[in-house]
Amino acid sequence: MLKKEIKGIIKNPAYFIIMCLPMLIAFIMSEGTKNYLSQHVQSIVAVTTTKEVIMHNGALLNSKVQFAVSELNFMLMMCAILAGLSIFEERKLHVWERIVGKGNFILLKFFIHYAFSIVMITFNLIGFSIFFDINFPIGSVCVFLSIPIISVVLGLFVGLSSGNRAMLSNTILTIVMLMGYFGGALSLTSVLSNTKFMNVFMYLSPLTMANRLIFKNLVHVNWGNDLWIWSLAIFVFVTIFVSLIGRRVKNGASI
Amino acid sequence: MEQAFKFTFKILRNTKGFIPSMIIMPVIMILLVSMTLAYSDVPVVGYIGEKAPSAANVKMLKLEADEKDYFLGLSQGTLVVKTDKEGNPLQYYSTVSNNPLIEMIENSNSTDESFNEKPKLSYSVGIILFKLLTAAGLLATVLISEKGNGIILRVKNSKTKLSSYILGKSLAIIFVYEVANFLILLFYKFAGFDLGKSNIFQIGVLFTITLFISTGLYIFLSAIMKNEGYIWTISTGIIFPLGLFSGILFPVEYMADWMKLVARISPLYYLQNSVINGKIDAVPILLMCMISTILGVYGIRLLSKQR
Repeated sequence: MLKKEIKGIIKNPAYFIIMCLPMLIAFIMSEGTKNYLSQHVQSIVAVTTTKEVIMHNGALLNSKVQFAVSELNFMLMMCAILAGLSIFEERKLHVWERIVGKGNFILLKFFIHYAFSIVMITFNLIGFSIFFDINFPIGSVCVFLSIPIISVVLGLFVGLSSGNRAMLSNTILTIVMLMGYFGGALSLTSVLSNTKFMNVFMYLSPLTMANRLIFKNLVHVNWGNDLWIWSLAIFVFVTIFVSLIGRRVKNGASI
Repeated sequence: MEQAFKFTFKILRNTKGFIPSMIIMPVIMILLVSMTLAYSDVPVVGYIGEKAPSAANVKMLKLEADEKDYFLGLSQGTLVVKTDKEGNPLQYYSTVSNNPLIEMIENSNSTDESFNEKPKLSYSVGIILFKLLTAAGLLATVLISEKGNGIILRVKNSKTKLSSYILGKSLAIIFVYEVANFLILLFYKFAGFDLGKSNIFQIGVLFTITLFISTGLYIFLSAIMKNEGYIWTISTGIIFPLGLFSGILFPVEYMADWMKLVARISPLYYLQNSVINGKIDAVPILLMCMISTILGVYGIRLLSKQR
């Protein structure tokens, strides 16, 4: 069964496309906004003030870094659609009804898609390091690794609940697009966090908290309570959705 | 033509949710896009303290002391000010030396009121222009399906001229979009958007021109295509990427030079430029209108020749 799953992933071009998209989108988005962050340059004329001016000597996150993080997180959320379609196809082909150990089957689907996410993270982090000169510390990598837990669980739940392919794609796309929209996939995180109302709305997306953790890690700022909030959010989300999956499996989950 | 107009308009009016979606969706889009794509040229300065320092033309953002480094790292070239109870600066934290924002704050008058920036038209107009440029996709899908189920053939065999029939249908769709445009413009006006160098009338004219260009283009596409699915592919696969390079998601002024070059092949670039500069780019827009007319006429001829 594991061999069949791996073959399915290798043969499906959608997996390959989603794996390559973060680098491509991050490149286009960062090229489109690269002059925005550098518009307030230092003055040639010396600025006179009687107050103390303390220079910030920490790292600065340019548009490439901001979009690299946001787009990779966004595409990791997009893995929900791959997991959802994968289990939906089994239901549609009536393979689902013939499986005795349904729990193990769902676990296999989860781990195979999680393994794909790890490959995707590795591929993109190497790409970001080579082409964008961005190197992520281990803390940031751990945050990246936590996102597929949410996306694959969400995908599996929708895949088990949907009655048809269009409903599945629309449901997941709407949720993920909104998460990306509020989570900095379409505009710079610094623009969102400096805009009235949006600096509050953006926290509707779990990606915002994940991005924040990674950015803090990159500028060497202590995570503070953010890590606890993120861990709690994952725990609550996974608990709710795993119990929903359990109920759905008990009810048969057939098409 | 009149009959085709009435019939198409009736279908559109009776389609559940069509009319509200024409008005409510764009307004929601404008609101969301205005917030997310707010690439404002007004600098944002963070302050730590009870009261913000008073400064004209600078947006102030309250920060907790431990958020200072995160804010400075995320927003390059910005400044954080530590203030006393009256809002007077005590200390500055800056990412660049000789930060001009320090002077802006130092030279401000204590009587200056806090600065509130109006949402700008330029944040959302790219998305609206894209929606209008692809508006006639609806006409194309109707024509392709009518081509498939034989209605076009029956119109040709009747006394009705095919050009009048297609024109009637086009006018019905343009009319519905014009009503939506009018309401969108009213929204821009009364929601207090900063229209920059343009005025409502100019924007209305440009919206109409965009609809005209869209109509000619999609009539032609409906003549050469057999599957409605390709219309969606053209809109999202060609026009959206072109729009991406011409200011749909980020302002052209901040783009890399190579992107600005690509933008020049996109119709959306000239339309958006005209809205933002308050001056219609006459030559390229006239050229686009001519090409659209030629494509539209040629499309109708192709449709009338098809069996």
